[in-house]
Amino acid sequence: MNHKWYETKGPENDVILGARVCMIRNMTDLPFPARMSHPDMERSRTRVEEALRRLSPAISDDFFCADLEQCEESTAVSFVERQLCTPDFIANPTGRSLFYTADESISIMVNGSDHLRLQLVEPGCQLDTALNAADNLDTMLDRSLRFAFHKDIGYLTQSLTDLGTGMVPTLQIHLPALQQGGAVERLSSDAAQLGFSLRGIFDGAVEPAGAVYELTNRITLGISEKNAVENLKSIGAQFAERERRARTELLGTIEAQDAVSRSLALLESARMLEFSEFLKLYANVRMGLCSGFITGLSPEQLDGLLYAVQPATMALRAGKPLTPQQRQTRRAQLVSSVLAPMHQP
Amino acid sequence: MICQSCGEHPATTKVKTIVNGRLTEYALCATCARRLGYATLLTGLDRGFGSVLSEFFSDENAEPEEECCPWCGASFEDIARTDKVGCAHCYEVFADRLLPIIQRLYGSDIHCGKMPGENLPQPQPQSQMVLMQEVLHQAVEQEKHERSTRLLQESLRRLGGGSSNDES
Ligand SMILES: [Zn+2]
Ligand SMILES: [Zn+2]
Repeated sequence: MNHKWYETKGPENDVILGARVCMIRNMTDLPFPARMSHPDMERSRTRVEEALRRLSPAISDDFFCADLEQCEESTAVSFVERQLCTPDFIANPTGRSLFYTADESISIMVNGSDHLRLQLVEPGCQLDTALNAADNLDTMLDRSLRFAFHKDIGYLTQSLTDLGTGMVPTLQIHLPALQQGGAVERLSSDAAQLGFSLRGIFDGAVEPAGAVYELTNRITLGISEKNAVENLKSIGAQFAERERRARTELLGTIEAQDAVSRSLALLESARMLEFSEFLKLYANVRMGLCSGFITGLSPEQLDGLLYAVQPATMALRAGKPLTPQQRQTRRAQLVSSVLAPMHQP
Repeated sequence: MICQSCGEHPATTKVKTIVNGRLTEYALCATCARRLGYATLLTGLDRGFGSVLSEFFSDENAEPEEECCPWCGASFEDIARTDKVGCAHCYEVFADRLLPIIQRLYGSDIHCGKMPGENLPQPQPQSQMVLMQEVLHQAVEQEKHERSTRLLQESLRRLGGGSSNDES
């Protein structure tokens, strides 16, 4: 049984679901992707493949490779749903490949907006671990790929906005109580002033139904990797503290307690579940679980469900296209089977 | 095209996202892009779809550009039109024109992170941290203020018997 990173417990995962470090790298002797010919793309993909093979077998044995041109739409969308690549990466599949490990904690986008975009994810708030792992992988790949670099402007990238470290660290955070209190928009604008962005995921809206957000440090030039990560950790810790206080306050009210209990009951007993409805219920139940208001399930079990019941991922696991009704029925079955062993105090 | 989030301002950026199992594209204005976490260094400078870099050159002489990067064939005009640098060598070939833009985007900052093949440099005192402490301090004050306002509103509402739409 191969556990995914999001099914594994991480420190502070009552609020912080995961920590990701992304490194943007290019080779010197090939044009950047927008100007690459098909043979150029093939060359770059082969080189990455060979470089990965040369890594210690402990790492490279695990890599799967998906040629996006050969992928069905649901497979490609499922990669995005599982955070293995960005939506932009699958928008134009020409010449693009995705390498990823079985536990989905390492992925490498090849020929996307840059030659390589490698990312490592760790459960919980373990940004340092993710940074060290990404740094190691980068150093090992650099031995054979010789990444383009300039001493004043750092790693050379297709877009001027990624120059410098070419490193983008992200915390995945759950902010249901702050969202209900209407505080997220202001947090987002505070964060933007400092060079961070706060973006809803699993649903592109301002107030994403599941209340899961990505907090990212966008500054790449004039700052070292460790500083960028330290700053993200400190602002992430602030957000987490405020969320915890907001939860305590919110769950002191009978209305919020009622909403949590009802959400759990719906998840346990629904026979059909839309994904957007699942997200709303997930947000309430996860908050209830982490505050000890309900017991019998771990947050990471619930997060495993969050990934598994996404529309394209469900179709992929089923091995065939599903009608909306089939999808909703299967989703409800899967959710209630995972929740079956739990009971309220 | 009008921003699909606020429905008010003209859209300047397109963002891609997954909605219900499908790849979807939204057109956003600069304000909404920032609010939704999609802003980049270039967003604030943008006044329409297409190139941001070309704005830096709109007032320069509009002579057709002949020089091309010998490695990838990109002209500076190609780079300005697409906001995409052609290859690593373009940074040297067009250094005289790219470096001023980089300076406008980042100020006088230069790279102080990892060098290829070396260990990660140790943390240094830096500007983002100073700014962070200021903004975080303001945010805490603001939160205190809002909390007391909310408590006041709640006690007023209890006195008034509650609003009508949360009855039943
Ligand atoms: Zn707007
Ligand atoms: Zn070039």
